Amino acid sequence: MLAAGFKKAGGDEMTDIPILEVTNLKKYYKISQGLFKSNIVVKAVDDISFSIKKGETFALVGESGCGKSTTGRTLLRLTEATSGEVRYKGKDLMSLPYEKMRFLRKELQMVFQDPYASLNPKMTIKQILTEPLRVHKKYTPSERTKKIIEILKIVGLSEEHLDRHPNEFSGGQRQRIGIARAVILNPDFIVADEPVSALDVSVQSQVINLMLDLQKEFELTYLFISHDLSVVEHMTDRVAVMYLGKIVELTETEKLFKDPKHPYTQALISAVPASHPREVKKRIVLTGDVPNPANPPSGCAFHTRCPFVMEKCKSIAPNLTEVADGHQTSCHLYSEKKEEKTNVIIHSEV
Amino acid sequence: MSDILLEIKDLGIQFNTGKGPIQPIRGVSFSLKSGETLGVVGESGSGKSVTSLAVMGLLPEKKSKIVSGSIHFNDEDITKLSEKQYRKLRGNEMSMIFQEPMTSLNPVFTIGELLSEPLKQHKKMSKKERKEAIINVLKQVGIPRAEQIINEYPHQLSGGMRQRVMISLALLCEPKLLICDEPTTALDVTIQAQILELMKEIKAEKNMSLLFITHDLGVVAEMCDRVVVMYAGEIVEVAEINELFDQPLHPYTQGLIHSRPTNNSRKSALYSIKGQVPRPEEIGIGCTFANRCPHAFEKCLKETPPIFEKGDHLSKCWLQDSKRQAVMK
Amino acid sequence: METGTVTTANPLNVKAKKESKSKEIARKLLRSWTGVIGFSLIILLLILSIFGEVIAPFDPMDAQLRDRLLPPLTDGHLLGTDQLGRDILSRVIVGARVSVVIGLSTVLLAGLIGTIVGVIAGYYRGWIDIVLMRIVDVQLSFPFILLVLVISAVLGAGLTNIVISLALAGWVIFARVIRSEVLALREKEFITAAIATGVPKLQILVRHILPNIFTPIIILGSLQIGTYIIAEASVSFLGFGVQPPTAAWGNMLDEGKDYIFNSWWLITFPGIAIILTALGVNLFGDWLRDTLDPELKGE
Repeated sequence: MLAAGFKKAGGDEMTDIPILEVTNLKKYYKISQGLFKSNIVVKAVDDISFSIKKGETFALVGESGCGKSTTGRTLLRLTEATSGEVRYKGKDLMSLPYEKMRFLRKELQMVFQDPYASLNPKMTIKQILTEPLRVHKKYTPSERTKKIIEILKIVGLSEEHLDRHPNEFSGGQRQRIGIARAVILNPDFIVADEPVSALDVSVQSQVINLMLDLQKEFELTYLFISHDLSVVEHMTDRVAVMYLGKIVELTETEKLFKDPKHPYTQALISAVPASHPREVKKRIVLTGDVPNPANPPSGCAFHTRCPFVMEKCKSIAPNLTEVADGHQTSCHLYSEKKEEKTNVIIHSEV
Repeated sequence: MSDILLEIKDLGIQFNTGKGPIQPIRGVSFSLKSGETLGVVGESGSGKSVTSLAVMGLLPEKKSKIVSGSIHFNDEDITKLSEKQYRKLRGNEMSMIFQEPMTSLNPVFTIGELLSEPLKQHKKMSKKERKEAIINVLKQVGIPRAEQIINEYPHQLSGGMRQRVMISLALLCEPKLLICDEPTTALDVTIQAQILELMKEIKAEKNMSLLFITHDLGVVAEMCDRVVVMYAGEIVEVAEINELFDQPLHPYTQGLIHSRPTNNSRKSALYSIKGQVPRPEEIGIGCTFANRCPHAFEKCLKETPPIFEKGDHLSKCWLQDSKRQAVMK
Repeated sequence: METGTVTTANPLNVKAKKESKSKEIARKLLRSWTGVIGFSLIILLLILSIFGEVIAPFDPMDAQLRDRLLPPLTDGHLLGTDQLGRDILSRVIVGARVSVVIGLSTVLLAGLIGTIVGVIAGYYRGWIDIVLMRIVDVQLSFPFILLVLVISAVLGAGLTNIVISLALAGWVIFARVIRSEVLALREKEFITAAIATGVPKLQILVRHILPNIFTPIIILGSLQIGTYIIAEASVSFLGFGVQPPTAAWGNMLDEGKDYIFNSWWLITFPGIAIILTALGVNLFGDWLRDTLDPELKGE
């Protein structure tokens, strides 16, 4: 744990030591269908594994219902996993007793999507920011106030805001408060669940900058959950793309945007609106909608919308395998060393 | 009939809130040519949605009133229309697509019932003709199994499908003007791409005029011919689409374009506009953007800038004042 | 830091804010005529219950058998006299206290029990929720007034006992409402945020849940007071409640009912008092709900 104000010169150096290792994580929801019908099982997160290195920003990307938010919440045990292991600095979080986990939360924090819903409307900013320090018994009461003022300044607010309630702030300011609450304990790892998607465009960039600065200053590791690919491209180091509860592609951010392997990733990237009216995008428009997670397709879950669907995709689910250096994807197109051939197919059809 | 389908002149709207009246829209003027797609860009509180509601005559009756200006549609001032006259226009000559496709479709009616409503209102058709028209329009917006869908309820459809139904509802009477209020904001990226493609196709086919309201510059870049940029209830810039992206004149537009992650190198600090969008009650004298503007000077704080014209490119900023530009040179 | 300075939205100091808040409430009250009526009736009721003896023109206990059953506006008896020659106006005025005391103490007791049960059931869920809610269901299936009568029959008459029996019959409504409020609150993101911060469960309950159910408790309480006042009157009317000679509107009705055909004023005026009180409390409660909970009204 770092002392406050300890700044590291370099900033975004990454190490290869994993701070968090997720293995075979599953989160299934049972939906009761009444007394005499069997329950429907929704596999919100279906057997995913990845690891996050210390100091990096790891992104979970996908469309609504793909399980990215559930993954973030399950990691922090805000919902209990169905099965699987999450090792944080070697300790398995999933099997920790409640109180031990609560104690450990000072190192694992979260920033929420909706800055309106995630702050208690009846509390003042001072109360909101004192709470983490109080429950983890850090500092004396007078030092706490000093610390709060310090953190408010870091996130771009000031001392005069202390006695105000959240409803007196704009969305961007509230998100700053939410971020202040997360970093005030000097955590090592922060799950940021769509932290800018509820904000106005002109405020989004402010908050992104703040998160980048804080990462340097406090050597934070981020799990950045987002559906906004341009933000993900800008600020993350590695990306896992999720579709219907599974990771379909996992690699470094630059590689993913330069050379997406999975047809879903390709479609997702191509669907991002152009940044200039003269930019002509080669667009893969997917047909149909995301299938209902309660009733996912057999085989590869993407086969119903995939432009390159093959016979075996309909029955056999592909595994996440390494198809290039540090580039994993789960797609039959790459499974039988046909890589070059299929690449040709993909690029000629795009 | 002139080339201009919709012309808004000096529109001002007042809302009566518990804390006294506010003016979410002040002096808004723009025009929409027939066959054109005009983007209206702005953040929350910029007044873009209020403007569109005013055009549709859907402002909350008791709480708001138009205090100045006019809205001409087909050379007729529609601010003077009675509710009954308006009903003849709405859904017929002009239609609107809303952001949230779930809440804007009444859940107790089937898709078929929802879609037959405007036809009953505006067109004389037999039941059979209506059904055919509905199935046709559903097929046009790319809804599979249209014959079955008409007997289903909105909640049985996915978000993308619902938005398609909304579009088909708006298209039924082949309106001249289609107002889209953030039509893809609630949708996922891949579905957004589908819907945008669809709207481009339909527009090309029907030669409608589109008023496209959004906060997403990317969507604007894809869809629009011209753009109106709104900030805090005023228009700050109007320009042709390429011109806007190549040479934005107003510092707010510049900020919006520069702060997009794609226009910044990876991992670097993004260009950002400081501060917050002012609340309506905080707007005082001078330029509304002055407190966030990196180029603000004395005059900006004291005097509201007029609209400066540079060909078709309009901007409301003292930097464009020719006197000042002469001094700077 | 490249975040830029954040300009303060409203540079008002805190004190000015507080002042404007009480003014704001007054302004909101004046805007709604039902709220004003309700509020005035409640103020009147409170004044009567505190200063009743001083205001009353006659001694409410003073029986003048010579003057029994005088109609209104005779011999200075504005509302007439009852079967024992006591001044009805004075008895109605003094009777206000019984209603206020019973209304307030019942709502406090019922609210307390109901809130505790509702919070436990809603926050901890599981078997304890199931057990508590089944009890509530069973109790809700009995008519309220019947339950009050049964309990007060067991406990016996008297002011304290009537409060206890009203509260024992009335807490279930609080329990139901508070439980559903807590259930909804549990799913709010700021509660998840508190868990993520590492706040212990009990502190989440005390610091995050309780302050947020305060408003619904106040609203429900203000609406329930009217019910309790009417119920007390009914029970007193049936002879289980406040015992004569203490003046209470319920037992005034009870005593007057035998004279209903030739001396209508005996029961009419306490009846009107009950109606006005219930009306005032309910109007005020409605206004309170609309003001504190604008979402309910859909404003």
